[in-house]
Amino acid sequence: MTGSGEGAAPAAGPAARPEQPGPRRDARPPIPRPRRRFNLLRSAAVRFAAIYAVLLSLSVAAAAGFVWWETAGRLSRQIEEAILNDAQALSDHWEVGGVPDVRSAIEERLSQNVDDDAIYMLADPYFERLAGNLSGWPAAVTQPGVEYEIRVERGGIHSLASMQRFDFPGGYHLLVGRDVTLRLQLTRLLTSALFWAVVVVVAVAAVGAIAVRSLFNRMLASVWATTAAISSGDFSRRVQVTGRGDEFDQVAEAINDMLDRITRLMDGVRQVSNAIAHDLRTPIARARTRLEDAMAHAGTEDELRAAIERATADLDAITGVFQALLRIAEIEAGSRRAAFCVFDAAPVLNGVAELYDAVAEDRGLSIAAAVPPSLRVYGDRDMLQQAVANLVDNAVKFSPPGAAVRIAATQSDGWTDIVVTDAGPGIPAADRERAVERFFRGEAARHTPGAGLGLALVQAVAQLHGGALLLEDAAPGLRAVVRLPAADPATAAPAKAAEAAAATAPYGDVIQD
Amino acid sequence: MTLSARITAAAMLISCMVAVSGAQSGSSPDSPPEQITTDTLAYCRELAVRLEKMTGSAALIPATVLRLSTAGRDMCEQGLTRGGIMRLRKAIVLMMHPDMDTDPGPASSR
Repeated sequence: MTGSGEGAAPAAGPAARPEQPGPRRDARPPIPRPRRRFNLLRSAAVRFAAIYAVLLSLSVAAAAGFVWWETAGRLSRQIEEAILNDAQALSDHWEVGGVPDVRSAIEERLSQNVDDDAIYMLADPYFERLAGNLSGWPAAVTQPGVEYEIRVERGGIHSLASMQRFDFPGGYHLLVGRDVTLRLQLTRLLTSALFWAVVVVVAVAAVGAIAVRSLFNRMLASVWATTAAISSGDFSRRVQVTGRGDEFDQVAEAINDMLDRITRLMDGVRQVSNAIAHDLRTPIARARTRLEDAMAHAGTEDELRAAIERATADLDAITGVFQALLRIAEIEAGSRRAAFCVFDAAPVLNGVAELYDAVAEDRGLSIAAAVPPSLRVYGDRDMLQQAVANLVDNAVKFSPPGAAVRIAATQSDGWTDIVVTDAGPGIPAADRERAVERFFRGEAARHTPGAGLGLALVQAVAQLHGGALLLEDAAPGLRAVVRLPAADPATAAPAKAAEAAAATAPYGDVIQD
Repeated sequence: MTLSARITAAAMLISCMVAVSGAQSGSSPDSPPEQITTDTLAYCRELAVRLEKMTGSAALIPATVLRLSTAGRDMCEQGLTRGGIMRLRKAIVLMMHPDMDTDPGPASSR
């Protein structure tokens, strides 16, 4: 067994192919794009910075508002509460003893007003003063239950007082107030301090916003430069990873992984398309030549029929290659993973050995299967059978007469190894990595039939099952190992039904490589 | 200044204006302010008389009350009316609420 098998065109090995280009630097000039005008509102960095500044400013403003409410606001509310309490108490006195009692209560309250801030006035229906410490009824105080700010003169010094009017039965009026000069001074000081604190914070927020924007721009610059270079055709560029392991590094690594994957896929697509064009050109040309030759030189109908049959065989081989490619693509797409189940692979391996026993015997070979009685595997039975058949087909094809092809299987450490060993020329170490590529054909396999797709399919099957295809030197020969994860015990229950259904299923087609 | 800063400053100014002008301003700058009549010498003497009546009927007079009463009268006579009135008021409060005296000296009996 060697390479991925050889195709219908012996002279068309990989060495004869044109060299596969690496990541292509697109020679085309970049697509000119209309230059966008820089719009501040469209800039994400500016938006982030603005959000930072606004949130910080609003937070500080809210904190300042709360402090203001709890200090200046509380003082104001306390004064209003004191006025209402005084008014209520004097109203009670009115109920008890009318004018004399209220007058006495006012005089007593004034005599105990150590803070010297209380203002009272009891007036008759004509607003003439009956008691209190105000020289006259302020003309502005006209409505009961309304708080008024009235300028007063206290010992030659002007100050401000908060007053409210209350009406008593009989047309009498009561005025209760408090000097609020100190409170106003405190409020002004507090308001000014808070206002300037907010101004300073807003300034700091603005500076911080600029810093945030700069940081944001710096971190995105590498991503932007890389994507711009790639959009211009330079697929070798990668986003810079700072090594700090932060979120930006994670994004950069994810983008770089994505770019690596895209590059590999593009290389694969390019390689496959080149290989298809190259490998299929020869058999198509050969079929055409045969038909032309028959048309020009066939003397009898039998000769013409024979030429057509040969050309048809060539075209069938080409169709087979396309079918194999489609099969590999289907496996790689993973659409059949949903049908995975646990099954016993031992009968599958023994069945393949039995199937190829006659072919091996014709070539003077023997097939020895060393398979345990039960080999539980989680996957697709038909695909695994096809993969093993491909390996055995290669082994039979490349082993010399008298040699033995061995099929073995082992389970250990959570892995199931299905091993097919031949005594052929093997694959040189330098070619083993490329041997699983589509259409790859090693030097030693140049003169054997095949298209170079067999090992590619085996690898696709192994990878679909979460495993791998390992190619090792058997000295002499090749040791191909299909390594699959062991069956999950949790999924083993439905295995019996799957096995019963699969026991009678026909073997899949072998992809000729 | 950024938009957010302008909004914040406007909010602060508005809140200050609301706080300060929460009450109606009831006196025009041209009209003379009303006089407080409890800052006068006459009121000081009135308080002194009231205090004297209270101490006259009391069995024990706290020393602090006597000291404040004397100091208050003296200050009023010397023209320091507000200070004198404040002391007399404190003395009256202590006469009515002796437990508020933070420096009770020996009481005098009359």
